[in-house]
Amino acid sequence: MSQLPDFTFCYDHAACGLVITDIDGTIRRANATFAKWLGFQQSELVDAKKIQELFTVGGRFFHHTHWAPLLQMQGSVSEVQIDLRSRDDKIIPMLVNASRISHDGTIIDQMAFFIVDDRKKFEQELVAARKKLEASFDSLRETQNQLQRNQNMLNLAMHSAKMAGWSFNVESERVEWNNELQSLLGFDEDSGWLSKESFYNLLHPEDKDSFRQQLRHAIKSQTNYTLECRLKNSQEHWVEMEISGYAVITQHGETQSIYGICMDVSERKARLRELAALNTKLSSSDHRKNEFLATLSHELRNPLAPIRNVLEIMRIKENDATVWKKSRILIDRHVSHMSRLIEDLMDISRISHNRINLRKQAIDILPALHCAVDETKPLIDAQSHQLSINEAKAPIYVNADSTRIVQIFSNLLTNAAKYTPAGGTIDITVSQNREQVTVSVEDSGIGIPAEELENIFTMFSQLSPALERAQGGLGIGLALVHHLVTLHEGEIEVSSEGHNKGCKFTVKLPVIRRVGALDANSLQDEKSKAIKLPQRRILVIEDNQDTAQSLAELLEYAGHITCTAFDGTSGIMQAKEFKPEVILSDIGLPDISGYEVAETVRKQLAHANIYLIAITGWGQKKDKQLAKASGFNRHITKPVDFAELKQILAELPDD
Amino acid sequence: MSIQSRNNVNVVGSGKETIVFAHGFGCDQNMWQYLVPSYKDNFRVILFDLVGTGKSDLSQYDFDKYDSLHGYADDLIEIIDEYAEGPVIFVGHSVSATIGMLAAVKSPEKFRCQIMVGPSPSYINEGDYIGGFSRTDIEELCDMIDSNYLGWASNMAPAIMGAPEQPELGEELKNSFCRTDPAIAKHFARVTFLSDHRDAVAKCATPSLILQCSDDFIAPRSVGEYMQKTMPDADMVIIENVGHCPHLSAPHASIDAIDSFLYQRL
Repeated sequence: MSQLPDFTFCYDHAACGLVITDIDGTIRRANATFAKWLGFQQSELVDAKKIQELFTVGGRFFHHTHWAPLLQMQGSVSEVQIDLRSRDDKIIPMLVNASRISHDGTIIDQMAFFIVDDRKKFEQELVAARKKLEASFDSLRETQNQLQRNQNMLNLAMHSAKMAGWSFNVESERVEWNNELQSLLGFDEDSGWLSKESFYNLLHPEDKDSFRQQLRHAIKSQTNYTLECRLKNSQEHWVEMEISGYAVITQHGETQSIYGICMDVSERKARLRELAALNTKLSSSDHRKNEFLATLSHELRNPLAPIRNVLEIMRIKENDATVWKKSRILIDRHVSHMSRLIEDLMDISRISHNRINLRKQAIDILPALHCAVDETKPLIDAQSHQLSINEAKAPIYVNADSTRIVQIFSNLLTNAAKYTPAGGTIDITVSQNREQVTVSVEDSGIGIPAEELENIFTMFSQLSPALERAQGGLGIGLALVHHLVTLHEGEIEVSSEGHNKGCKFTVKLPVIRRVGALDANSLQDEKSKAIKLPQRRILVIEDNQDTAQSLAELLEYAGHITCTAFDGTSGIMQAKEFKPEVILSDIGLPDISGYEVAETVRKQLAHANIYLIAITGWGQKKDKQLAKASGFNRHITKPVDFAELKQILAELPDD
Repeated sequence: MSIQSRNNVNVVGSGKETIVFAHGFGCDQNMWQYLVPSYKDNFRVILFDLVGTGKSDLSQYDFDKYDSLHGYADDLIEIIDEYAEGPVIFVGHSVSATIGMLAAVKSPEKFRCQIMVGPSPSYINEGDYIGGFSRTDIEELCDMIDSNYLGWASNMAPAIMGAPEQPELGEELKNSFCRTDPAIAKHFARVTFLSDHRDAVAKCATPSLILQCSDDFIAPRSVGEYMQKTMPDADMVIIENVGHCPHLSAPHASIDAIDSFLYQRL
């Protein structure tokens, strides 16, 4: 057995670096292994270097901040990994254990170093792996946060859009949904309605079959699908849902489940229904309007033929006074008829544009009624109808525009006469209570079918297409009557037993019980007042030459002296030369407006004291104000009613 | 959150004057174990751990607040307000010497005097100023902490072999010594070694004692001399010692220097 090496040899050539230092780090012993590892001679280390001088900068910090304090305080450090610097400046990672001991009264530190190249590499890898892990964990967390944010956004969006997620598992036949569907339907989270049955229980009974069918189709065809159904919410109301989505297909090509978005489309559906209803209404109204236009052209053309004929007769029989008289009556009748038609039309238009002005005052309704009877009497007589009036003797006062009251009843009476076969009866009944007066007009005519009663007061509601009817008319009369009654805070009703059973219109108007000084005969007076006509110099400014000249002619017949101008500028010139007392001026003139004419006349002929009358198409308040502001004294609407004009001229102050 | 739990504040001893000890980079308030016995009989002694070290509340480590030493200086002022009556004698080691200096500039009335152990307002050489290190050195240091955090920050356990007699160390103490969260250690190292508070040096008029080790790799003599020259009222004592912790490796010399300073200045 060979001799074992002694301890000195063992120390020197140990399998680790062994070093002994003073407590300040000065190396007192270093074995050959340690010196060799670092490329030093032992003599270059011992008593020549401090151990920390072999460390890297970081190691030296560590020595001062950790190593030395720890050795001092706890006597040892173990498994410290530290980099050492070799003689040729290579970094050698080492692991060291160190302990502080007292030897013969001297305190020394002894330490053992191991090269840990591989371990260092391994550790570095570990550190790198950990860093990577941390980074991916961070990124995972960020992704999760992002996902959560997206989920929140999605939930918010779905909630705002009244949408919900929905899925159906083909194998389990299980229907699942997210909380949004629950909240859409107003159910609690724990209402436990997640089974297939509970879903089908929510389905509208009429939708169950089609829902299953559509679902089967989606599963079978493996395509995107859209289906509609109604679901019962917690309030037991039906919510209309549109479900759209896609089928999820397994790798074997089978449909595994179908996913989708449910959308509450109740509002949309309701809107669509409203829209459809509106559309129907519109097209029906459009239809009625077309009917009306056809009727209107027919009605306007009708009187022209006899007028034209009569004119031809008058040309032939130029000197036959009898023929001329007959002709005049015929033309007058047809022109009156046309004027009435047009007047009705304009009234309807005024009412629908809110431009009608009622001159309401306390009047007795009975003279107005009689006035209407007088107006329609020729028509009633021509049809040989029997007219009866059952009325009170005492006056019945209402706050009304007498012209409009006459219009209401003359319309009703005209209708009664027209829609009653010859030789029928028309009965007028007037009754009164404390609140209102009731006037009914009942005929024995063709009657109104029940289904038409509802729309009878609607514009263009005439029963059958105009061209098929014998009686003519525009079908706006009742609409106008209804409007006028309403404007008088009254009511109008219609009743009919049906075809050929006649019909009855009942007008109710509020009465006024106390009337102060009242001229009950004003209505009559208006028509019958004898008009004395002083001669006036009148200038007519109107761009329609026929209108201008015929009006001037009529005024001449009435004893006035006239002059005409066809535009504003020559009108002003004539005003200076002709020196009129009255100027009748149209507003829409080709060069300057009638307003400007008035302003100029007022400015340039300030002392002439001319009476200015404006003639406008629409009796709008605004027009009247404008007319007044620009210097007109009065305002009348087209077409000029000659009687009205005569009245105005008669009432002019003498100076 | 109490200041006590945040900074693991311990108050020992009693006396008319209060001494606050603040540890440096590396360990915790246990570093003062050789000095405290000499002062606790005549002074009220306040010990604490910087947030992020020792037994401080790691959950209070706010990376924004402690991104500069001012965060720690604010903590120090709060500790003084909470635990001291009247201005204190402040003893700060290494980075805590700088923290104390910043606090004394902010609230000079709270400091009677200060003892700065191994201080350095900036570690990096710049122009005439010799901080001891190039920027590369400090970057390398930070990198090393970064790549070797297991060795730096985790448990610095005492060797199990032939442990010498150290009866004053309890088991618990051994296990928590110098250990902290690696991320915090890394951040704290960067904040400490990259900070430059030279601008505060001349502003700190608090009577100061600089305890400078004769051979200190971290705080070389040139730095101590710079501070003494720049501060309005500073003494400097050189302690014959290799290393950065004279209060550990040369406690008697340290105590003598402090006592002599306090004797003159109080």
